[in-house]
Amino acid sequence: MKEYKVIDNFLPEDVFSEMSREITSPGKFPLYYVDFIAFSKERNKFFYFEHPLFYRSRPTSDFYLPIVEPFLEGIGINAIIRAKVNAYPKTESIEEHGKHVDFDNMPNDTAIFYINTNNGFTRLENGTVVESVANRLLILDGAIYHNSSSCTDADLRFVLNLNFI
Amino acid sequence: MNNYKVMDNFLPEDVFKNLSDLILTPGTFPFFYSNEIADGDDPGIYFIHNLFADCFPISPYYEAVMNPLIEHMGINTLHRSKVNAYLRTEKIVEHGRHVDVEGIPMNVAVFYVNSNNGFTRIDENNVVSSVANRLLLLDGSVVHNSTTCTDQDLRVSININFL
Repeated sequence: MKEYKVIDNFLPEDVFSEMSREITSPGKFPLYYVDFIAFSKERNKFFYFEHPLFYRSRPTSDFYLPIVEPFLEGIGINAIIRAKVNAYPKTESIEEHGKHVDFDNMPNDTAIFYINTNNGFTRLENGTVVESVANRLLILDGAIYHNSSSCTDADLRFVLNLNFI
Repeated sequence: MNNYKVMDNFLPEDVFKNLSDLILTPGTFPFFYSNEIADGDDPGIYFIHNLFADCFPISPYYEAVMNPLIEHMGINTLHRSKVNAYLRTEKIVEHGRHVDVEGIPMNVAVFYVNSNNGFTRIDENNVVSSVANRLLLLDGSVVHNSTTCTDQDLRVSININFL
């Protein structure tokens, strides 16, 4: 059965506070422009910014350990497939991005950690909406189709996206 | 008398292509979120990448981005340089009127990295469109403002203050 769970207040308050400050404070955290979202080939329809932390068996950022370490034990991760921070710019109205699974070529679990509170969300294939609440963790079976969205009430919608076994 | 000058096709094509590819290719160039545009009262956010400030290069991309511009502009003394990336908006938003540096006689250059329908407004009657590889030179005392654009994800320019 394809399952998901939502855990609020996942990180201890001081750990979360430091991590979110590091990522969301203006001028501190490098973000890279991406000209599509969720495998869409429609360039210039949606865009966002990301910060790759880990991919293809190696860290891709000095921020990898400081950001991901609290989740390794907290979730019980055996092997990381990919870790990255996503930042979706505010839009006039909420835009829902394409439904997808992060990796369709290997069994994995997906975690979405909400770094700031906003009116954006993750929508699962059964219609369930998981709202963006700071320090909330959504863990789902990697086979569950889902989609992200933008928000209208914060400059950026920040999430940490983890794929793991 | 015009107190600004526009130079199109400023960099040689191959040099410009290298520079614009470096900055515009998705996933290659780090930008930093800023919630203060121009005078700080502007709505919205933009992304910046500081290259040079306080008499020192502050980015590993400094030489790759600035060397061609310094060479072709003949800059002797650089005060500040940064890459600005304004996010696409539903309608064009004009940011606050400002001079970049107050109290120091300084020249301003805006180098347009991509073409879009945003612009730099000099005054009520004069705007400079964002055309890739265009350089705008301004006397530093000229009040001006930037804008967003509606036809590209990002409006990217390099802002240079120099003597």
